[in-house]
Amino acid sequence: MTALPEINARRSNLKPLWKIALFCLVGVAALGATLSCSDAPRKQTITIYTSLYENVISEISPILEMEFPDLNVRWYQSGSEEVLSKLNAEIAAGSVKADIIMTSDPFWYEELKNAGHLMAYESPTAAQIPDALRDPDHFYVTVRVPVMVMVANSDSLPEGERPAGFSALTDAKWAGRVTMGNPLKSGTNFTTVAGVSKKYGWEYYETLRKNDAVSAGGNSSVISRVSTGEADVGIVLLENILKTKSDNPAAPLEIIYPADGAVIVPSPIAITSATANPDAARRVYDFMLSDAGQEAIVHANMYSPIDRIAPPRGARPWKEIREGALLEWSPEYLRATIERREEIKDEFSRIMFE
Amino acid sequence: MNPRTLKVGRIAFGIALFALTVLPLALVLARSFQNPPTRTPPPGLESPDGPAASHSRFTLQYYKKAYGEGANYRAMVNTIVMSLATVIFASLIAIPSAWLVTRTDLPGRAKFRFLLVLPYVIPPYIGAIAWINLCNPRVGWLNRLAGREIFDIYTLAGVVWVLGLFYFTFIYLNCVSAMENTDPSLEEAARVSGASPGRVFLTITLPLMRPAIFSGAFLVFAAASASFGVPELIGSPGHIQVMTTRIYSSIKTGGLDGYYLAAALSTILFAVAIGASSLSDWLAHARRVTALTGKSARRSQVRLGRWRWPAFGYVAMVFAAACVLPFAAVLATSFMKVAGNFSWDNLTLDQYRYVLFERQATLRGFVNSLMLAFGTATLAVGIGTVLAYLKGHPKRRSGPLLDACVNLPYATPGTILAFGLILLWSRPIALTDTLWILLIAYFAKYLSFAVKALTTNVQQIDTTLEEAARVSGAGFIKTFRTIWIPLLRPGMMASWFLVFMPAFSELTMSILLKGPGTETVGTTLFDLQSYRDPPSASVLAVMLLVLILSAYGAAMVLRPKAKTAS
Repeated sequence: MTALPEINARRSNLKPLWKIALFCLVGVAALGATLSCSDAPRKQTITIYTSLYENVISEISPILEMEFPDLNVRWYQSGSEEVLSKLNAEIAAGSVKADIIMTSDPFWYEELKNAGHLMAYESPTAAQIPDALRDPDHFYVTVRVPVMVMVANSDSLPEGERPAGFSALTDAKWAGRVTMGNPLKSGTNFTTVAGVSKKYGWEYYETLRKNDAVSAGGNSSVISRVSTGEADVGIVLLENILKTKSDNPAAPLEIIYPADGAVIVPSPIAITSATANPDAARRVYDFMLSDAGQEAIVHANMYSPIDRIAPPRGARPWKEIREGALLEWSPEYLRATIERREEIKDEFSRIMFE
Repeated sequence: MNPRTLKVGRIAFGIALFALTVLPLALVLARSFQNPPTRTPPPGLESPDGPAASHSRFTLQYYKKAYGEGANYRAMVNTIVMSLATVIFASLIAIPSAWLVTRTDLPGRAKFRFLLVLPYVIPPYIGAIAWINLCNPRVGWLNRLAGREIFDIYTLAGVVWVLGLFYFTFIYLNCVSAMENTDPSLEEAARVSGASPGRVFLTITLPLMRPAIFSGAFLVFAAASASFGVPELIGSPGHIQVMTTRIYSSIKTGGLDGYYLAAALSTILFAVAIGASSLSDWLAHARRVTALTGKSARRSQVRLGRWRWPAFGYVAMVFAAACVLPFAAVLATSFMKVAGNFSWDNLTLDQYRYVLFERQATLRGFVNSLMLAFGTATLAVGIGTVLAYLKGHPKRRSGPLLDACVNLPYATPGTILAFGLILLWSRPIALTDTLWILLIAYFAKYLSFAVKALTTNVQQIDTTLEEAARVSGAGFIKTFRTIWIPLLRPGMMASWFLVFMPAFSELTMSILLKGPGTETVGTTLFDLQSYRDPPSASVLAVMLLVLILSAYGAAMVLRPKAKTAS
């Protein structure tokens, strides 16, 4: 940046060039500042960070507007891991923008709670949720339950030839035909690997590796590998199968409820301790746990943690899934898994990726 | 203007540039030595190991974790091998193609010159999905066509193949613009003295291209080593882990302090980027080439003779592999009910209806991205021209800090850069969740394209022209306007597109930086791919390609032709 003095003869002519450049920069900064200061709403604003699907949000939004005319509810919607990345970055920056978070990674909430980033709230509506799916200290509660099951390509695998459950996949006949998501990238897949490795030990994944099982991407890429026939069987979330089938009835996908039990991923809702409007946040929190909120969630093909709420269309009843789950969920299991997290990721990575 | 004001202005410009580019990365680097912040723990939850760690407490734990692990070293080796292989593969495609379309009587060379830029407009993420459709071992379309498993995309070679086919355009564009601007009289002299076309190419043309090749090579290297989508989609199934895979995994599933470990992991990528950039600058600078004197406009073509059609075949194959195949795969997928099923009753327009008319956020994404890409490209070329002048002019000097401003953000994985921007622009100036932070992000990331491409051009321009103008009494502005700008115009246009296209479809940073209402094309693509299905994402990709192609086509048609006429 020491270049300019050399143009001695005509120095004054440099002025416009630098001025323009400076003007641009200052202009950008000034505009940005005004833009960020000018939005002072009269309504209270509640910002929700969530991995709920767009269609759930468009279903819930009008109800929220009717229910809470005094609130302005804004959404940041993306994948569960992207929401986590965004909020963790905001925490590091000391400026959390979310009032409510709803994503699928249960372990993260326990960490947020321990680091003081959540606000306790003993919601009256939370009482109907089973104890195992609630934080005993009331910092978060399960608001929906994605369920990890298996999917078969119905063209290449006629009924009767499909594997019965997770344990069946170690059979040599599935070599080169199995796919799943990457637990290093996808939270629900991490929860699954944590559960399956606890139940069957790491030998399970060692055998899958020998069988050339493919672990990559998130749940959507598992669906696409199975529907194109690149793989015959996939380990994937039930909601992804149901959604693909409802968007596109022609998709050659068939649900397999594993005989050894599905992996449940209790997905919490929580209020951040940074919220400026705790009362409003509590009202929205209660709404999400109310029947109206829960039904919207069920429409998005996820289970409600509440037994009496009907399951998603085309899915088995929640009670059956919960009681037959591969592993029983509990706050203790959750804490123990956090302790093992790095170990689980490293071990999986060593077995499957090296 | 007196020297004092001038100095103040210069310093202010420097500070602004620094704040927009390197400062966020410096903040990330600082975090790698810190513990994450905690708030006062809620009552009854005091941590058993005493009071919560304070925010600023210094720690080396993340470095111990990051560099105490063998897997990270293997990932680093994979990253370097992958990036170098991509550079070599890309050069092998780019340099001969650039020469053929600018210097020879290749059939259809004017068309190819334009067509070979097209791979650049396909976001690599979409390209990776297309190539997986084409070449996955079990049901890849090419394998099915052949009737057996010939291609396996899930290999290191597969990753390099896809990255190379997209990134070769960096070198290609640089070389084309350099070849069109160099004085052909040197080559003619060699030819008249009896050198064969091959010898002329090796001894005259190639050395003249050196700055262009190496600055392009750096862009390819840095892009490859910072890329995540392609290695994740293609490398992971093939058991290939690279640094970005490790970094992303730490952020996405590493818990509350995931960023801190990722920051520690990124420092080695910073080091590699600085090393690669200095190396490429050194190689490019080793001999200064001032071939563009502006005094000769005549150019004769090399006659390829019997090599004419084989050369045509080569360029056509490059075009087919880089463009026709992936584009056809994307286009075909966009009309399918179920991806990969080739039958008449699997065809549908439903996805088009859904994406274009039923989904409200699609249009908003397009509008936002258009504004952002337009703003980014203009800003980057404007500032990039000034920086390129400082960097490329023999009588100007630019420090390593300027290089860092230009190169580091580009070589940084998108998520890390986005993290830095959130750290910087949360307070006191809150730009998060606005379009401004996206603009800053794209500017920081893609400024490098403009500077690299333009520096090459500046280096080739003979300063005697400038001196002549000066002697004749023209001031700096007049000289800049009448000498530099006309000579730089093709380069400025090329850089504008170089910046515009990736900014238009940027994905990684946008996902973290978007707020309510600031969706972009990239985040829309991500949403469709993750929550809808590959055919719907393909529809968006087709729309994106059509839009960019028409813009590019329009620019090519409107472009002043006088300079390239022979």
